[in-house]
Amino acid sequence: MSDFKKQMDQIDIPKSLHKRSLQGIEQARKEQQKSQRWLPKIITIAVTLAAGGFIALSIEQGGTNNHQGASTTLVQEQFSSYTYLGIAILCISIILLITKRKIESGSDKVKTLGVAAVLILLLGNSALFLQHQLVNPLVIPTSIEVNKDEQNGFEIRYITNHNDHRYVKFLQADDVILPIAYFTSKQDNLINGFYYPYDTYQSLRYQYIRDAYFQADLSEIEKIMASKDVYLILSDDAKIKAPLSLNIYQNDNQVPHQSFRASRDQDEHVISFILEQDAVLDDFYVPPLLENQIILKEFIVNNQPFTSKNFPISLKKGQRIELIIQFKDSPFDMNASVGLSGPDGYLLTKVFSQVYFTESMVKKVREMNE
Amino acid sequence: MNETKEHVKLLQWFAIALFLQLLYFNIFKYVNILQDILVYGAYLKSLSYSKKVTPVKKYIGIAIVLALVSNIFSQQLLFYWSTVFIAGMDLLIIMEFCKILVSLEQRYNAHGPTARVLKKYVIIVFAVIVSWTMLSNLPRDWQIGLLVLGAFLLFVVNIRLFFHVLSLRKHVKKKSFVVTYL
Repeated sequence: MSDFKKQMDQIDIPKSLHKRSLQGIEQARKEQQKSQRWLPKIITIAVTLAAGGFIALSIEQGGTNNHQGASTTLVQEQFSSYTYLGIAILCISIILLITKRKIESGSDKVKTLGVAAVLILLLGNSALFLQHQLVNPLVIPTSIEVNKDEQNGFEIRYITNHNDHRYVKFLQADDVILPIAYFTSKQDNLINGFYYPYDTYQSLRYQYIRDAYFQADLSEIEKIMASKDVYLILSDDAKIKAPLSLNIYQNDNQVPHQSFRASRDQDEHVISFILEQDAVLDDFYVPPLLENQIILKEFIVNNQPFTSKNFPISLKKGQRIELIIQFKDSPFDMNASVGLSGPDGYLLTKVFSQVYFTESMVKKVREMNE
Repeated sequence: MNETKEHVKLLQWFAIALFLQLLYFNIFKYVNILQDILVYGAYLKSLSYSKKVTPVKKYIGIAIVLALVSNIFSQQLLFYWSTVFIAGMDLLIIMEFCKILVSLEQRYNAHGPTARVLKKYVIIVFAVIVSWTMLSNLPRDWQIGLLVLGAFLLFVVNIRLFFHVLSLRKHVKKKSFVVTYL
């Protein structure tokens, strides 16, 4: 072998040939570099596009110039939740492809994989985040019974994204415009650097449940009751539909009684009455607007359960009756009278119930609005 | 300038950058931009003493643009992205600088633990970055907890690296005296 090497060394290489080979090596090196150069460019473009797309979408959904009513919400929302997923999957596949190419072209394997992992995690999390965002604030369906007094106050709750810095300014129904009762210009608040509005009732993972309190006299209430649609007007003049049903408490002929209320869970309430006079009762009473939403599950007299099929019932003075009522289409807020009615009058008590929200509840309200 | 002196200067400015990073101005809005300018300025000054070609300037450019954008537009998603990206860029910058540190260490026979320090640094910072990618889908309390924990871990690893750079600078300086007086 060494003999062969010596022989090889003895052969003279012409200078021109040596130069040629050197030039060839130089050329090959340049071309190799060229083929690697497009990779960082593509990675930059892909990442910029992904980030830009997501941010643009997020700005659009949290947009401050969203003047559409609730009717346009439906299309936008359904479209977007699939769009986010689609974009995320597309970007993740692009990232995987580029990562594979980069590793094949000999760049630092650990670093490339690290960058890819962080990007994929960011994209996946962003898609999940955007899926949970509301296009417009939502108003919680509310049923309120007001007295015949001159002034009445009522509360409407609405759901906004954490990032949505708008707040409710007015309630509008035809030509009635009610300003929010405790309106202050200072609605913003920052806690630990996070935006936390003053009117927050409950804080969820992606949304705030917020309060709007209004005061109205009887004539205004009657006008609101007569109008077809009620809207809440936000600080940027955007209109959101408010599923509000108002009702005036009319029943003067009450059977004298004492009443107690308790809620068993989110959907079930127990109301008990102790009568102070004999009475015959033959029907379950809820305000007309809540008829399909509240049902009488059963009622208990002398520790015996009955259902509405057992009506009419006759009760003596001092006897106790317990109603177990169920909220069918929760979530909704209510402040209205519920009880029994009969020829001797009404046996009613006001039930005040506000939904304690969870993520799935927000989804339900979203579906109900759609 | 003498090459050894240049190396001492490089390490000195790198140490200054690391020290500036230890201060938490981020709690005040817009002041973090000032901090970024100081930190990245120190990095660039440090880099000016090295002949090595590194992509550090590119990383610094990206980090500054992100910091500016996230300060101007207060979008929630943008905040999460910029937090992760800026931390990522800082890690990449440190990794580039540590390459220079390793070469200096070899040159001055320091036998220092740069590789070991860097390995721990990268693992911890990467874990923090990964945890921060999930911020957007966590409840508020968890978000604050993770941000505080991450900031604490970054503080600890940065302080470790800071002392390491100081000791390396001392070593290089000593060698320079030996060269001068022998």
